[in-house]
Amino acid sequence: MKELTESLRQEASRLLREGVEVFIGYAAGSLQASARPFFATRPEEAAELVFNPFCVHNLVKYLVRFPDKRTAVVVKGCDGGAVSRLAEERHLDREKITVVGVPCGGMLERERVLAQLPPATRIEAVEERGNTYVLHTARGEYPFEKKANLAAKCLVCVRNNPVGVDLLLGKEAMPVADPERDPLEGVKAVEALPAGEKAAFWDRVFGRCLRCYACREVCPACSCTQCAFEQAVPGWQQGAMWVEKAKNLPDSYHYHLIRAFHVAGRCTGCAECERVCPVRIPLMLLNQKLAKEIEALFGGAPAGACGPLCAYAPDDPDQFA
Amino acid sequence: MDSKLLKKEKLLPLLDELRKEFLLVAPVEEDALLFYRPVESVAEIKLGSGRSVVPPKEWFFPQAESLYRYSTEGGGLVLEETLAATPAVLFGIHPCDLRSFAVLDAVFLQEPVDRYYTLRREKTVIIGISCTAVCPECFCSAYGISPVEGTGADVHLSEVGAVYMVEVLTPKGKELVARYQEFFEDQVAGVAEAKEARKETLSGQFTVRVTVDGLPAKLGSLFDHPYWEELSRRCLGCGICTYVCPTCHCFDITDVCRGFEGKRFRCWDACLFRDYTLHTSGHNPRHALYQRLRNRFFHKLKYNHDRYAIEGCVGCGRCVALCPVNIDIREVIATVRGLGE
Ligand code: SF4
Ligand code: SF4
Ligand code: SF4
Ligand code: SF4
Repeated sequence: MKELTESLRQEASRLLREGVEVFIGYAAGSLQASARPFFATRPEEAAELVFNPFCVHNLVKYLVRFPDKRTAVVVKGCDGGAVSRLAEERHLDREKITVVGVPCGGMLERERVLAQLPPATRIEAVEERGNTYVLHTARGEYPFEKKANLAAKCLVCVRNNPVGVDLLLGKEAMPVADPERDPLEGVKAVEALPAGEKAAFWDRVFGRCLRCYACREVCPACSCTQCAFEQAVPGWQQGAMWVEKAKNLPDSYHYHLIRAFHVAGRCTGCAECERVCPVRIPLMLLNQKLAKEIEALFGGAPAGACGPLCAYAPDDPDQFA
Repeated sequence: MDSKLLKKEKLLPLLDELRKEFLLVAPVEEDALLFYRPVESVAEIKLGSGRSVVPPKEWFFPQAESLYRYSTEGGGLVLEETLAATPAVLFGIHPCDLRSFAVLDAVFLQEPVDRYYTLRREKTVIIGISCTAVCPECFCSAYGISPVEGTGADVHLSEVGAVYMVEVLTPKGKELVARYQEFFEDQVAGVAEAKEARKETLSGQFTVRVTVDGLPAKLGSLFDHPYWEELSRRCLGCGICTYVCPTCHCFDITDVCRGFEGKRFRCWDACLFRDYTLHTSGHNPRHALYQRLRNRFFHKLKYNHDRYAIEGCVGCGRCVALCPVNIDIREVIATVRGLGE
């Protein structure tokens, strides 16, 4: 991964010299086997950039914070779609953004890595050897076979090489998708549950939602400037709100259903909502279920970058509402 | 202080007895996550090490709590307070979380006392438990907390071989142990020493050494430092770090009203939320994310200390482990200590 990181640093430094004001990429994290979003504003800072199988974050949402600046952003295949979608929805001015694509061989599930590495072992380098990531440490090499250690979304990914980017770094990535694995496995398992068990399943997972809204904050499809769940009104007018501020099961259901419907057709499948959730609520089940229904209903319909749900035609036989 | 022994195999039977008299709140596992919840059977209890996602403060200061009900039916006004607490035993609290109760006490027990918190606090007996391992994010030792110390518990257990060393630390604890004395045995030689040895081993396991001396004063000179804006660039402004923090205690008060009936409740709030200090006028003194993030660190590392003479962080590491973008308070502390003014 050394060459990729090297060319990333070079390109970032060049872009920052040539007028890009903020370069959004990844730097090493403070925890073992971690990376973090990083914002370089001067060419010297490009030396801190990295790319490795811990760069899980989708950085696209950060672009919305810099409407007046010339920006560049690093995207993996699963992140990239969010840029065109946000530009299509006029949240971003695509002209001001340099999209830097990195081929991606998959992200390692951090927990699995930690379970196998001895504690406090510093990872000195990461090498991609075909279907395995080899972590080099002072205590020796630790191989992580992709099939057994990648994040769930990566095991079914067919977007390893980003498209629609302004700059593509590195060498073409080999697909990592496990052909044996059905991308909708989880959705189908829940669909197959008897009604009572299905309800118990959702009661259990929604019951522990903290309503910390990290899943919303991280999501590039949750791009409303005023969220339906965040209308500041005085206490006695709370009845006007979509959900109560208090954490309770009915309101958490309400939150989750509204969230899922608001991102339906716009979710690009980066799975960030699920990654950030402190109580591991399987949000992707809802996102994938809706994607599946949209595909079944409008699969054949021509759609722009914005997807079938925001395509508009005056001769549409169906009423809008 | 009184010291006893409890054989390991007697712990669950003891808890089962306690469950008959008290509401028993204990660590339980759900989808590989730990929570403190009331249990109906001791079989639900997850023994052993590990940090709960949501801290046990939830028991004294629930995420959502009803304060009173009201009714305006027929033109009158009827208020009905919803103050209630059952006698409870809160079992399996680790030393950092035990300290967090002292931090919360400083806030909620100052005059005028918070009656909701006080009542729960009074009616609960706390059984602490020593850690048997240190997580990679833990740094309680920075605040002088030892992973085997029971300060803050009524009764504290430390696993030593096949027994628990039992420290009886308060009158409440004494009463509990006396009432269930058939479960306990006398302290034998060597156990206290074994516990001390455990302390030594554990203190060698902290992955990051954190020093906090002089931090409140130092921070005072850094309010306008550009560091806060830089740090906030990656922050999502979510509620994770505050909701999982055992010492965060901000709340909001709102009503739910249907027709002539309603209830007023309070629920956790988070200083990172956009509407946290939003005024009715539309003005927000902390309109920018960096101001809100700075507030979080100032509150943890300075204001709490200045106001109540007790640090606002206990080093539990939850925010470190759960922040989705790796904002690590240990690193913030180290950076701040090294910043010029
Ligand atoms: S889903 Fe595909 S592009 Fe995204 S991180 Fe995984 S392998 Fe890379
Ligand atoms: S991140 Fe998880 S806990 Fe937080 S609001 Fe979303 S689903 Fe709930
Ligand atoms: S510091 Fe981390 S956990 Fe806290 S608000 Fe920011 S992103 Fe969320
Ligand atoms: S600030 Fe973080 S480490 Fe400190 S007590 Fe709160 S959650 Fe724990």
